[in-house]
Amino acid sequence: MQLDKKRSIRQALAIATCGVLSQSPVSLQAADISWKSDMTTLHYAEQGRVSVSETIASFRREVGEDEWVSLKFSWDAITGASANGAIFNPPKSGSTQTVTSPSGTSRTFQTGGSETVDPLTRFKDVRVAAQVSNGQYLTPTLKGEAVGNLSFENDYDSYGAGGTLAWDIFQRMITLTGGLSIDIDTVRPINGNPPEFASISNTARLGQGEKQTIQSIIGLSQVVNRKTLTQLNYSRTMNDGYLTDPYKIVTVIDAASGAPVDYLYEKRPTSRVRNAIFWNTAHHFTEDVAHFSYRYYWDDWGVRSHTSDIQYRLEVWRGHSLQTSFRYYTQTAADFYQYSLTQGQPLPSFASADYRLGHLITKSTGIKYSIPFSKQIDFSLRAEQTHQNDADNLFPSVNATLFQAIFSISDRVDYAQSSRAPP
Amino acid sequence: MKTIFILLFAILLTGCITPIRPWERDLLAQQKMQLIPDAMESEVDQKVFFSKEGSSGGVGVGGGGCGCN
Repeated sequence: MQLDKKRSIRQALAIATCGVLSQSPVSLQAADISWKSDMTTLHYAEQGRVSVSETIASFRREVGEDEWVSLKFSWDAITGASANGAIFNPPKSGSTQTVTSPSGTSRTFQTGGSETVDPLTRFKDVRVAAQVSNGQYLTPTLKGEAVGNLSFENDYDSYGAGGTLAWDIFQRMITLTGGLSIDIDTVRPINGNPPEFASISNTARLGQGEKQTIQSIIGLSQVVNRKTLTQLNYSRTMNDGYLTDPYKIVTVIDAASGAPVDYLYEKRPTSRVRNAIFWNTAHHFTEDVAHFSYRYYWDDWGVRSHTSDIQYRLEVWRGHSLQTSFRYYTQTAADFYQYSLTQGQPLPSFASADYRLGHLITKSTGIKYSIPFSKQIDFSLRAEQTHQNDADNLFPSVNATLFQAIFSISDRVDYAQSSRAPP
Repeated sequence: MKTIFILLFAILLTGCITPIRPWERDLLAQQKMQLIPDAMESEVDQKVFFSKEGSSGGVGVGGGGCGCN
């Protein structure tokens, strides 16, 4: 037994030595790695506002000939300030008063002669999330995957489950996909949710808010020719329950002077039906690759949006690549979006001054450099600059930068990294 | 807009496209040619824009909720 053990160690050392001598320093054989792993860490920062640090790790392993499992973990730390809906640039004078927010975290309001509220709410939160999935080929052309996920924040929990099916037809020229998922979320600020349309001076609090989300998607992807792949999806999402944001407020202004006289917690409808049509295309230029996508979105809150995204991946040298991207987004405002309410007027059924439901334009420009460490290991660095502005010029612009590092280990060799593509 | 998409969908479904044999799929099989070539990049982008804009969807289902601000 002892001899066998020694022999096996000797053999293992011999194999390892031969492997080291016969291989280039960083190359790995396909059989050496049985897990596919993707890891990323990122820092997102808005100028003068929120910043987020996030780390995600995902692992995928074949557990049978046609079956696999995957696990994913995320951790976010969020800190900084977020626009709460109060109007910007009212006169600020007088003393500073600290008020307890629904999350239990202190929030600073500046009060003076005209009693103004700081339009930025400071907060700090941590989110942890996990996802597990199991997929398998049910027939040689039909693939199914079931997913379960949960996430926890200081004031928000989410539990979800879903599944997708993908069916290859016409000699695998077309893939039809369908998916369904349900999420049950709980909004639970530490001291409870504020009553909708209550003044911020009202300390009454309600219990936690619950909402349910059902998402469905159908799609078709098709091989157009040897170098082009295209996809068309339709998704429908139904939200029901407490959809109000307990941290957002609406300013009540004096009709004559326009000065703020009170601040009310916002109120949104209790249901939302969201639709999106998404078209995505990839084209191979023998070495470089371009991706283009366009999405049209509409919902019953009156939000309509157009999103265009283009990415061009330039092959630089020996698998190194440089990707540039540009995204343009524009949306109409929700029907109940109001920058402010007027004192003396009857309250509307719903109102929100959340700039994310306003007339918004977002432009993003990104760059990413990828370095192959081996045939199976890839490392990328990415930076993205985003500029978001209110088309009605009521809220100030938001500038954000994102830095992301991505480390990927594949369980199979991507020969595009190591061989010259045929003409 | 919806009509354009329905037409596009119909054109795709007609299959008026030359079949590509398995040995001709070398380029299509490359990771960079996948419709989502980098899952981590896509996930992060989707989360950022979901948090900062009034619309989302079209790409997939599930993924978990968040009270993102």
